Amino acid sequence: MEISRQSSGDLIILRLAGRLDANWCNHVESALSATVRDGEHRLHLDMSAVSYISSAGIRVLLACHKQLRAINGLFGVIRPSEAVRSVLELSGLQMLIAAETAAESSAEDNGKKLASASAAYELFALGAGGMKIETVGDPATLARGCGGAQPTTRRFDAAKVALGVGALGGSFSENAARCGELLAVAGVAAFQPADGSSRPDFMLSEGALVPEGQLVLGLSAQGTFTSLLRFEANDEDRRIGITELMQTALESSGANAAVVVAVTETAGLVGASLRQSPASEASASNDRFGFPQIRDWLSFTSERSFRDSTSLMVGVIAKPGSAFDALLRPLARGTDLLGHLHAAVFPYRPLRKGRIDLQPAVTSLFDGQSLQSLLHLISDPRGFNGAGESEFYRGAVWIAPIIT
Amino acid sequence: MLALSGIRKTFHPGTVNEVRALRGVDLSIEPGSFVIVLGMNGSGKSTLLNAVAGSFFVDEGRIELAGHDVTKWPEHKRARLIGRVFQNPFSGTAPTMSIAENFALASRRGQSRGLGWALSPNLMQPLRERIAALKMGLEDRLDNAIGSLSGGQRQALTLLMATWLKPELLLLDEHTAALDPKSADQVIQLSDEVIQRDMLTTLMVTHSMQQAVSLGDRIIMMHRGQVLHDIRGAEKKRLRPEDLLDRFDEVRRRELLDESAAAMLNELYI
Ligand SMILES: Nc1ncnc2c1ncn2[C@@H]1O[C@H](COP(=O)(O)OP(=O)(O)OP(=O)(O)O)[C@@H](O)[C@H]1O
Ligand SMILES: [Mg+2]
Repeated sequence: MEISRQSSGDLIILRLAGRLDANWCNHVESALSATVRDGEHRLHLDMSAVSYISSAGIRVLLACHKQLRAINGLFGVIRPSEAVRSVLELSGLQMLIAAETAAESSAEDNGKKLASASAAYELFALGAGGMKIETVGDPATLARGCGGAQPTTRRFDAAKVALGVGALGGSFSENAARCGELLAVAGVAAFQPADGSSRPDFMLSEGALVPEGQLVLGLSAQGTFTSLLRFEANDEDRRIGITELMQTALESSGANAAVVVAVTETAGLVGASLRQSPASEASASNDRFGFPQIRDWLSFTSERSFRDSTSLMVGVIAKPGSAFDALLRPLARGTDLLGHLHAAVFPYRPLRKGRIDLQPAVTSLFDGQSLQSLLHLISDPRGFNGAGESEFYRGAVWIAPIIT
Repeated sequence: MLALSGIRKTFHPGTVNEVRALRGVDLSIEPGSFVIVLGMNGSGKSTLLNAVAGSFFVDEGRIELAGHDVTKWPEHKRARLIGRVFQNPFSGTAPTMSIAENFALASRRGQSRGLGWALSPNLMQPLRERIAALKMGLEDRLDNAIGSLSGGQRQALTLLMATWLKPELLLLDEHTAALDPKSADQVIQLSDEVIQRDMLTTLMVTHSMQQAVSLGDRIIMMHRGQVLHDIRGAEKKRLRPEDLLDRFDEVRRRELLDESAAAMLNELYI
C-alpha cells in the first residue's frame, strides 16, 4: 500500500494505491489519524488505484468519517476504482463517495487575527461580562490540615468555574480523606481522589442534577466569558508553551486578572497531584512538603507527560497585586505572570475549528468515561534538570476578565 | 497461614556494601490465597521469599507459618512445610539423577536422607500419571537424567516435585522467566492448575503484568524493601495490566522526586 499526500487550499488529498485489507488497514488508519493530528480536518481519499477494499478497510474509512463529521470537518472518497465503488455501494455506504471538487469550507465568522511568531491566534468577542472571584480556604491547610474547619458543600452549576483542592459528593465528613486536585466548569466537576485511587472521578450536570462537593482550598468564580482565543502553534516543533499562551490570553483581555478555561490538543503536561488529602485528620505532621516525606504527599510528573492527549484546563491568571495572590504562583522566571491552573487529561481527540461553544466542547470530553488524570500544572523552572512547562499544539481558550 | 511482622534484613551491615533489603515487612496471608509479588529489580522480592524459606535468619521480626513460629527454624526444617521453584531450571533438582530418583528425593523432603534413591512402587503409578498429564512425553523417560531435559520440561517437573507433598506454602520466584514464551505459558498454566486443585497457599514473584492480573487473588507490590501496594478482593479482580503500569509509573515518579524537585514544589505548588 502506497500513500501519497497533496494539499489544495485547506483540503488534504491522500492518494492510496494497493489493497486496503486487514493487512494494510492499520497503516492507512495511522496515516489518516496523523493527518488529523496535524490539524487537517478536511480530507479526501483518492482511491482510484485501490484494487480491493475489505470490511477492515471500510471500518477505517467509517471511523475517520465519523470523527471528522463530529468536528465539522470533511471526509470523502474521490475517484473510487470500480472495485471500491461497488463495495461501498453494495454495503450502502455511497455517502462516503464525494464529488471531486469539495465545497469551500463554509465561511464562518472569522475572529480577529493576532500576530505572534510562534502561534497563529484568532480572537472572538463573546459579549460583555466577566467573573467575580472568591478565594476559598487558607493555603496553610496544605501544610497543616483543615484544623477541624468544615468546608460547606457547594454546587458546581454551569455559571461556575472552580479549581483547587476538594472532593465531589454530599458530605465533607465522608470526603475529608479524599480531597485532591479538583476543577469545575460548564456544569461539570472532576477531581483526583487522593485516597490511592488511580483514576479521577467526575460528575456532569444532567437534568436537575448539579455536581456538588467541597472546596477546601482554591478559587471559585462565577459569571460569563467575554472572549474565545483560538490558537495553533506554528513554530518549528509546532507547539506552544503554557506561559506564552496564558500571556497572550491575559493581554488579549486587557485585564490584570482573568479566569481561563481551555480545551487543547496537548503535546505534554507537567504537573503535580496530591497523594493524600491535606484535610484528612490522620495527617497531622507539620512538615509535609519537606524531603523526603513530600513523596508521600505529592506526585510530580518529573517529565513532560500525557504526550499527545486532549486536555481541559481551568485556571486563574493575573499580574502580581491581585487580592488572590496567595493562591497564585509564577508561571515562569522573568515574567510577571502568575497563575493557578489545573488540567484534566483525556485521550487525544481533535477539536473543532473556529468559534465553538464552551459547554458542548467541555461535556463531550467526558463521553466514554475516558478521563485519565487530573493535575495541578507546574512550570518547572529548573533548566536542564527540570521538567519544563506544559505545551500545546492547538486549542481554544475562553477568557473572562475578573471584575470586582 | 503465613504471618510476617516487622521483618527486616540488612546485608553486609556497617560496610560500604550495606543493603537494607527488607525494611519492615508486615504481611498476613490466608490459607489457600495465591499472592502475586511484583516490584522493580532489587525491591526485595527474592529476599522476602528467602526470608520465609529460611535461607538466612532475619535481623528483626517474626515469621509464623502454619501455626509454628519458624523464625528460628533452619532452612531444612522449614522445607517440610514449603515447596519452592526458582527462576533457574538448573537449580532445585539433581541433574545427574533420573526423573524418578529426583521424585524419590522430593517425596522425602525434610526427612532424613540416605535411604536410597528408589521410589516406592506405590508412588510410581501416580507419578507416571501426573507426568503423563503434562503431555510432554516424559512418562516414558523416567529413567533419563534430569539434566538431559529442556528448561521448560525441568521447570514443569520441579513444580510437580515442589508440590508433590502438598506443601503448606509454595514459593515461586520468577520460575518461568528463563523459559521461551511457549514453555513459560505451559509452566504458568500448570502452576495455576496445581495451585487451584490443591488450594495451595502461594507466593509467586513475576515481572509479567499479564500474569499478575490474570492469576491469583492478591497482588503485593514491593518497593525498597517494603510492601507499597496490597491489592486484593474486587479491586484485584477488575485490575487491568495498564492499571499496574500506572502504579509502576507512580513508583518511578516517586523516585524521581528528589530534593531539588521538592524545593521547587515547595515554592510553586499551591
Ligand atoms: N545474599 C545477598 N547478599 C547481599 N545482598 C543481597 C543478597 N540478596 C539480595 N541482596 C540485595 O538486596 C536487594 C534486594 O534484592 P532482591 O534479590 O530481593 O531483589 P528482587 O526484588 O528479587 O529483584 P529482581 O527483580 O532483580 O529479582 C538488592 O539490592 C540485592 O543486591
Ligand atoms: Mg528476585
